[in-house]
Amino acid sequence: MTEAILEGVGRALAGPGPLIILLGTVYGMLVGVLPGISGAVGMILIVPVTFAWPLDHALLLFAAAWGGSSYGGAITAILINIPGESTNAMTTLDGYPMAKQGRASEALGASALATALGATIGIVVLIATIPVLRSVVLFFGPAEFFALALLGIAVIAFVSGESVVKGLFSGALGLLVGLHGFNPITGVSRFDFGTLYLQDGIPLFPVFIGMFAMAQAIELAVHHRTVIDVAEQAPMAVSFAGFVRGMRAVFTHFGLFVRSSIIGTIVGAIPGPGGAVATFLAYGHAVATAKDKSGFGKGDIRGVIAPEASNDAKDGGSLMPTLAFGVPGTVASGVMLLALQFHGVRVGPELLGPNLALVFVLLTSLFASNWITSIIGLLLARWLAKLSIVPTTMISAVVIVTSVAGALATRGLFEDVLVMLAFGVVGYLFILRKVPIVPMVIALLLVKVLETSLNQVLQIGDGSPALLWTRPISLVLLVAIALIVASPLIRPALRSIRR
Amino acid sequence: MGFAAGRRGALLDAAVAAAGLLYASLLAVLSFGYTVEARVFALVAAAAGIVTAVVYLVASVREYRATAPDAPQTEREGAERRGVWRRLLFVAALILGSIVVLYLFGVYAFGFAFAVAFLRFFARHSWRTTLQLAIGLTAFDYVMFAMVFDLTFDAVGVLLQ
Repeated sequence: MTEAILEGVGRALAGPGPLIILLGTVYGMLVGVLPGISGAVGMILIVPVTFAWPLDHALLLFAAAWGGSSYGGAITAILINIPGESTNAMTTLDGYPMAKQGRASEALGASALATALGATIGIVVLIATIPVLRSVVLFFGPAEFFALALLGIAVIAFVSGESVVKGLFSGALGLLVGLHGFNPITGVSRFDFGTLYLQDGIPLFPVFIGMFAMAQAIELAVHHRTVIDVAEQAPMAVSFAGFVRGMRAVFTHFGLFVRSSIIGTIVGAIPGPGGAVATFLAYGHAVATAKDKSGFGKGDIRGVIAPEASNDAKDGGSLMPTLAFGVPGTVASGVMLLALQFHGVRVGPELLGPNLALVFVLLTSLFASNWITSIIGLLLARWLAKLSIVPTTMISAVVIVTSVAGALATRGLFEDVLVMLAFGVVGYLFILRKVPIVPMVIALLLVKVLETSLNQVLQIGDGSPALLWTRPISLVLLVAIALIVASPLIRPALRSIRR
Repeated sequence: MGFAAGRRGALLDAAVAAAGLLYASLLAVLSFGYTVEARVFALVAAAAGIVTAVVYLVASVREYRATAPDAPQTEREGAERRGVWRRLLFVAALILGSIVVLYLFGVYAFGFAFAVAFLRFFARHSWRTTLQLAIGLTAFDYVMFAMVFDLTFDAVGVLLQ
């Protein structure tokens, strides 16, 4: 593995690599700072830029933008009480009160170091588990891959919205959308309605752009026209001494920092929950384990360190199921998977074996961007926070124009723009009715794996699917899926029994 | 999202579920026209779609029935709701109009036209801000697509070809 690490780091730092990492980080920070636009949307919008790029460079850019977005969100959470990303919401609880007390520098310093070190812990844990993942993945045949991909969708549907039914509906819709076009087994085109366009299937990039970027831009334009109340801003004076005090606090509360990072890594490794859950759990852990809880919510630095550490540690964790099994846990890792698929890289044993250096190209960028973003963030915090008061209508205009151009750039087809717009409308309806979007796009990414695995299972069993429940790992996964799907029925029944 | 809450929200839920049900049913029926290998997973996915859509539809209808009819709106609520609808229709019209511009005149004309129409007439920014952003955005697109990546968009801008 040492050879792969050296080769990966060398490839990441060769040629324009460092420049791409820097550009991606700065772009990610800007996206993280802007209200209403998530890091995932930022990643999707730059996908078309990378079509003609070598895979290494594309991965460097995505990973850097990913790493850059989370600390950008923390800056606005601390200075103006507006989390740039939903994952920074917990940071506002203590970060903003600290800023109001004139301790903004301390909060920024603590969050910068917790972010960078947390990401490092997540990456180190990922590297340490690669040998284990390589062994585990060898136990996985078609039955296990089918069950795991299905479990991924079910878990994401379960945790990503208020209603399990809506989440499962969204996941099922993703499976259906993925059916159009050439069938991976027979090579026959299905559900193309006699059109040449649908023979290639519904293209994924325009769907992603529509469901996330376009839908979010419409929602921003129509429902959130107010500019942040500038009068609510905390004093933005920042000082070097304050930064140092904040960084020292991370070492003073090092145990909490490490535990929060581990919480983030574990939550990240489970497909679905994502950063918001990781930060919530880490903050809860900080409060639960504190001897003196009275400061939380009023400007306790532990309330900044815990969520920020877990937020960035989860990125390393979320790459585990993505790289080993092709089951992305978050939209960001889904975009990464899409980029790998686009360049013909197969995840699983191939990526963790002969292509392992590629993983380290990605991790080098993620590692570097997390440190760069912390340094730049500290230096430019005041100015970056001011970007948050950019009117949302301006952001909407930029996103809509970029979405249309991006959809067109995918293959140069006008129909791709129409598909993007159609899915923009679907995404907007989903936002309006709180139907989670993530299960649908993750399911769309997993359709091919699911269909190929199921057909292999049927071939091995001479038309019988029994292999699915005769293999122990697959059986356990299927039972877990059944419990998740049945949970809307089980929970009320359990409640009534308790009464 | 007050304008899509209460009974109206439940109705919208039912419409989304019904559309999903229709789509899943259509694919289920069509899948019988393919070989067994091509049909099996399609049927599994369609079954999942039908079941979840039906459950979602039933839940929406139950919610609709359980929700009291929307109380008479105050003047302010009514104005807010109308405002959201107006903005939604305005944005939809702008996007659709700009797509026609895209088809006829190409991606750069689209970017400029949409940015001007959106920023000036929808968001009511000053002409100065509008033009600064519209020109900046168009120039950025041109530099990125035409100069850096050397992309041409032959499918659009039919009047200019």
